[in-house]
Amino acid sequence: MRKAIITFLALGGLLASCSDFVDIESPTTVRQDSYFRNTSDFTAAVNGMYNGLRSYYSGFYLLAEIPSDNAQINGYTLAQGPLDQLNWLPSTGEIQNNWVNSYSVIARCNTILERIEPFDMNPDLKKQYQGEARFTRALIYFNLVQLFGDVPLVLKSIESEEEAYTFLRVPVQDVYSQIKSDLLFAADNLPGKYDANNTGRVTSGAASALLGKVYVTNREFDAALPVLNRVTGSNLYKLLPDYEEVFSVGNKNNEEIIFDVQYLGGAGFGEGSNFSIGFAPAGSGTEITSGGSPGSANSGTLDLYNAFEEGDLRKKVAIAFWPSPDSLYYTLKFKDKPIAANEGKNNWPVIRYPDVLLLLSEAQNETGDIAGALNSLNQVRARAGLPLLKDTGQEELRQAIQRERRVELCFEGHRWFDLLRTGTMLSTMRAYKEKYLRYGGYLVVNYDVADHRVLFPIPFREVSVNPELVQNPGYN
Amino acid sequence: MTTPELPAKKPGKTAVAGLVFCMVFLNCISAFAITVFYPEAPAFSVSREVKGQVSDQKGEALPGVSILIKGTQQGMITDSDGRYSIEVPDENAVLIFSFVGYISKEVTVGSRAVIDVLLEVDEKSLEEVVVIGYGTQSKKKLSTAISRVSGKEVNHLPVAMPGDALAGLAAGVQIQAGAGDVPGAAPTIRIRGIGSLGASNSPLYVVDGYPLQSAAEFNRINVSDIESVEVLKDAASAAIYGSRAANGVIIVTTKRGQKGKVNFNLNAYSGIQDVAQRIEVMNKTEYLKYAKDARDASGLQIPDIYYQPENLPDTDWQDVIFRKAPMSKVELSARGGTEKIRFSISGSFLNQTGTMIGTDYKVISVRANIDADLTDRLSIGANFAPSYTTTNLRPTPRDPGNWGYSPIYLAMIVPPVVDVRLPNGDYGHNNVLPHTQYGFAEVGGFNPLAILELEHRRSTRFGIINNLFLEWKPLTGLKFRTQWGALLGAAVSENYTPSTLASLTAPFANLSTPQLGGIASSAGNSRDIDWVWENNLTYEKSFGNAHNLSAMLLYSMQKYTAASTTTTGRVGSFTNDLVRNPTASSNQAGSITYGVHSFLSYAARVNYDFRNKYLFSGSVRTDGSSRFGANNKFGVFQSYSAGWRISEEPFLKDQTLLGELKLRASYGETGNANIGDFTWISGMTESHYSFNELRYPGARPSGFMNRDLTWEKSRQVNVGLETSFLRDRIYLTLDVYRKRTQGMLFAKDLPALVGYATSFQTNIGSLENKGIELDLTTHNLNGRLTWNTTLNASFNTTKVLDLGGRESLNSLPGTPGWNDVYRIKVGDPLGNFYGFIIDGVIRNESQLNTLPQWTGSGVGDYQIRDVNEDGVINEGDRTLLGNGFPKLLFGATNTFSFSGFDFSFILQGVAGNHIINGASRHSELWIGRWNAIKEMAGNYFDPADPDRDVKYARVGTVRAGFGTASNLHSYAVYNGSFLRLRNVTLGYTIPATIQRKLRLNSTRVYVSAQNLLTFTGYPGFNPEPSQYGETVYQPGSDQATYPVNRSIMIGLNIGF
Repeated sequence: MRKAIITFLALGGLLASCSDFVDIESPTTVRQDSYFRNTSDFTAAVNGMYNGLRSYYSGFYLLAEIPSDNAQINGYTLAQGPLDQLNWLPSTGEIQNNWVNSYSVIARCNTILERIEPFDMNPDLKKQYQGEARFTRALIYFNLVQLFGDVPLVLKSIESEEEAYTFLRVPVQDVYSQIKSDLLFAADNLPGKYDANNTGRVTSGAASALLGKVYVTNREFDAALPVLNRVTGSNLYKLLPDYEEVFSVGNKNNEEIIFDVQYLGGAGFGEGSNFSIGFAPAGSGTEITSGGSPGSANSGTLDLYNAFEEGDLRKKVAIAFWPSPDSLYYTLKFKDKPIAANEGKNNWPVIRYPDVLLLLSEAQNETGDIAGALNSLNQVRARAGLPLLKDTGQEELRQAIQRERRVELCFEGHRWFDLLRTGTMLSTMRAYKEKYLRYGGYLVVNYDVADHRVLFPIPFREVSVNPELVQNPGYN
Repeated sequence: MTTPELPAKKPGKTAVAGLVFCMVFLNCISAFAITVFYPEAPAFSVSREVKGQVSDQKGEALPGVSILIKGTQQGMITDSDGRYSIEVPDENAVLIFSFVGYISKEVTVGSRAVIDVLLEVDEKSLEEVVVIGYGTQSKKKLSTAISRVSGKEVNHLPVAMPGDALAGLAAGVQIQAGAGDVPGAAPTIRIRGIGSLGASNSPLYVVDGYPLQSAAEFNRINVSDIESVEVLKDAASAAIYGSRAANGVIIVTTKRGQKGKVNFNLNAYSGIQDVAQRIEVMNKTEYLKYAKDARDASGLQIPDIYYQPENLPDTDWQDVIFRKAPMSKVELSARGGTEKIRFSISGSFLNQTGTMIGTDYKVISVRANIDADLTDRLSIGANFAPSYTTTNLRPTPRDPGNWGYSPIYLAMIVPPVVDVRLPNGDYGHNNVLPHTQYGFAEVGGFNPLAILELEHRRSTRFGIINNLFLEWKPLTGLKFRTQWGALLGAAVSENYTPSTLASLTAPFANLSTPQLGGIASSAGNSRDIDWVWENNLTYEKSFGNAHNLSAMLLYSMQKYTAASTTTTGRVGSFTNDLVRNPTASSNQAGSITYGVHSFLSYAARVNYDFRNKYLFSGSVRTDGSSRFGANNKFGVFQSYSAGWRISEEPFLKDQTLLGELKLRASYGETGNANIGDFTWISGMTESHYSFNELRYPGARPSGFMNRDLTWEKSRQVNVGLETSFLRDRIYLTLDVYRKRTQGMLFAKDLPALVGYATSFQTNIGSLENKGIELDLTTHNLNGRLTWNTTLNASFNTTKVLDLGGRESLNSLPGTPGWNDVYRIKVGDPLGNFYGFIIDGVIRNESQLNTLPQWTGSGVGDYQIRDVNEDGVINEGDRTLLGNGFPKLLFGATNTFSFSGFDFSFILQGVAGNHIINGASRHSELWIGRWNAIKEMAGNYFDPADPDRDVKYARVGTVRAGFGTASNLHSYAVYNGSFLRLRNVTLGYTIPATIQRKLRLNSTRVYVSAQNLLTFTGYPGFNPEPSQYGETVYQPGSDQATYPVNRSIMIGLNIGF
């Protein structure tokens, strides 16, 4: 017995000397520092990067539509009041979420770009992955600079806490240089088209279209023309005759779609979108979508409803009225009957062909090519069943293009950017407020269109975590 | 004097009865025990009776003294007058008289027929012994702060869990039923405030030497099995459990067998529970008036049928969902043993029906403790405690998910005019005609009874703790103990939503109109295995009658692994309504999670005293854990304490007023590791995507690596005074402490531009708890009527000292919808919440225009107070409305006994805290679609009579002004203080003379009531709610938790 006990003690002493006992590898988590060993790791990382666009775009309308004259809150979305009434604060959650989601996608892009560079793999695939990552990064930075102005330009993965504090806001022009260089690379290195198993990836055309938009936004119309013409001249895209078909979940990735965010609905993984249920009017039950809890989100304004010209074939798809005490206008662009929440098949269109045509029209008009501009614009109007416009001067055409953009692209996350880009946000929103103040739109009475609203504030959280981040004017 | 021979009783009868009893009662272990203890009945010759009385030195009779015939199992216990009579086989028989606290005496019978015995007090054993972790110590020689709750104080309480039994019994220990009395839900237990913002604040539970990884097996301990509960409060006492002791340690010791006659005990009680307090809502008449007023104000109509109230029901939904619920418990135990082998076996079955329909909790538990002395120097022991629980639950407002699916909530807001059942048997809902006429009714809330009757949520858990130990005493004073324990748990959970239950997915489903699309089901399976191996070496020695020394060395390893899987049938994929689990789905999804962590520890402790007068102790413990970063897995925790028993000094020896006078002080460090596994690493998380409707696997980086992540440490200083008067009839303990947590385990915010994470686990920040604790025990009456009182009170404040450089944390909601309520700021106490103060209603245009107003407010809206006096009402007027943590906890127990009757009651309460009534946010006045609380009926602004004194604002559609739905306001904040009659027990023990005729040792009948009275100003279901679980960020928030029960039980306890 004594021997046994001594053995016991000795064994104890032996084990005591080895602290391996508290070194345990996680049974579930692949550590970042041991990933990126195979091509398939990069393939998965690129998929994971696209995945980030899903959460990014699922709430995109909150910043891109709700503040504008296109959309408004209602009794069911009162929480978004600050966005609608242009009195958002640095602490407004939706602004914070956009920031977080933006940099989450950017980090995914940066990690891929950083790790793929030294990695030995099929060079064509490598270029494709690099192009996809650079396009995605450019897309997010492009939105960021438009919403926030100067932003921190992160182009690598951040390894330490100290390093995270070194990234401060850089001038918009510097961000644009990076965006352009990313998009040029993407346009040059991405394929124009993929096989059926890969449809939905970023194409060269998407990169050119976005680059064109970047140029137009910066009023570099001369630079925009060739890039946009490359898209229209590629013969890969066209307007579908029926506007409704563009958005049909049975006709996804059609020829009018240049780039959209893919959602996988109906498979039961919860990886679908929620636009159909989210945007359907509250209380509509199963009448419009398949029930669940219609959320009345991204609901329209009377102003938008009235902005459609008589006979516009798009109107019945774009905006409808739901009779209720809350008088809801809602869009049918995201129509589906999903089996459950987050099981919708609807993709989120990022760039559609008419967007490119209207940007081209704008660039042509601004560079004096009125005929070309009318031609581009009238392609869009013709599909809508509207009379073709004639030359009535550059200024009128300029306004006609913007009106067309508004109705063609409503609810898809363009309006706020168009207002900002054309410098008409303040005047438009002030006129809108003036007009509906008496009419009694939902809480229209309450807001003031202050000059500093042209930029969103740097989220409160970010400024408080790193006080070196300077806040935008008007928000302190 | 000769004694006539009496007819011999059949010896061994008790043993045989016991054998049968045990066979029925338990498994093979008890059978084994019985064969050891009762090898055979002794052959008997001429036997005769001996009787007499046992008394103490003062001549007072001693009841309950055990008398055993040496070398046999025959025995007896003295009655209430200290008398006994026993049959002895012959003149050579030796009787052993023994009684706890007295020196045992052996008497040879000889020819005597009457033997009166006097027992002397065993001074040594009178000293209360306290379990201190890896050992015991005399309470007198303790220099640290430990509260002891003896089994006697809790054994009789009719509660489901040990935590419930501890409420109000120990100073500095907060027991909070944050979830209400949900069957099977354990209360939150906190010792001396809040130590951490980032890691758990649960104490460490140690059951019979086994440090548990979670409270699950602690919660399943049968309260009748508890011998004692020690609460190690200061860091010096807890530091021996260093690594995990920052939140204090609760040591539970279960009853073990004592040598002597086997005692059997049967205890059973049964009774009824009821909801202690309901929330009064409007009845039909009141509701219809409100609905009409609200719709009129909005220029809208109410359904036509609402003008014919006689055709509408008047449903009291709380009557529909709550019930009087039975609860009962049966327990059996057998304890006893020989010189060499002692055993204790008990089993119990508790069946608690919930006061909300559909809920219940059942526990079957068995506990077997066996000790055997193999030789004089070597002994072994085993504990074995399996338990099995089944719980049926229904959604409560605390569950994540949709509020519209929570019956308690719905019972408050579904209008009384909705039918419980329709004539065709279907459930009544308000999302159908006639309620939806003119777009009146609200969507998203369903018939609460349908949910309770149709939804199925059941979970079961089997758990077992095994403990084996061996003790070897190679030399006098030296003891080696090795203990190996294993805990196994296996749990199954099943959820099923049938096609007949209306939900957001299938809003119109009903019994007659099932919708397969509404079926949802999931099934989960989990198992956890934990083992611990602890070795310790103890040395005790006294030198020259003056220096007493004991030292202990410890080496310990513990490892936990768990795996759980869940299978979910995807909504919409169920093909039938007959199979009620996920297999009925054509599209199942599964998920699996794993957990694993380990601890490795070395520790040493020394206790020394000089002539029992000057006390010192010190300990050091080194702990390593897999939970921490590669660079910092190990932490060192040390503690010191000293005490001075002034009463042992010569100058206090000659007085009698003061019994004990002790001053003590301690300092110690303890740690916290409750942060989950692998939070220090960064990994790749799955993140899939699809191209052209084809799904592709994806991954993204997530998490931010912190190789330096290490133990959270708290340092605590404690100063205590213990004093007793009148021969310990009054015993007072006073403790003052300060606990500082440093290097708090905390998710520190990162700039979001990092992208992989917005925060990471690190050691930053500091919290401080300061408090005073008072314990007073008095033996008020000691004659035929005895009366004892214990009182405890504790004051604690938790202050935020440092948040890692930030001045405040992001504010948190008070309840879903009320944002920016809880604010944690450096220098503030933890638990502060902010909102607006309502100063009545704006009565007229002049008030509207003269007083500062929230933009958009109109007549009839709330007048908000301009707190910062800047002339405008806006966010700047948000002000401190209260704090969710109580400042004072108190408890008082009184026990009385008078010739066979015993009576006790426990008072318990808290003071100084506030509650946010989040439920009022939904049950408030709005547009009449939902019901509201009764107080609001007719008590709202009426434009036709603007000067009427009303509390609430106008009804009808919301205006742009101050939104009560989005801002916490003073109307929703209540004082959270309460005083509760936690337990009252009245018992009667049948006189020993009668019992003897029935061959019983003790028989007691009793009535026990739990929560009979609660004095509180809070109108909710539960005066100590916690909507956000055990979080310390949002204390005192209530969203209509499950109610607290009031119960009355009748019980019987028989010993034989």
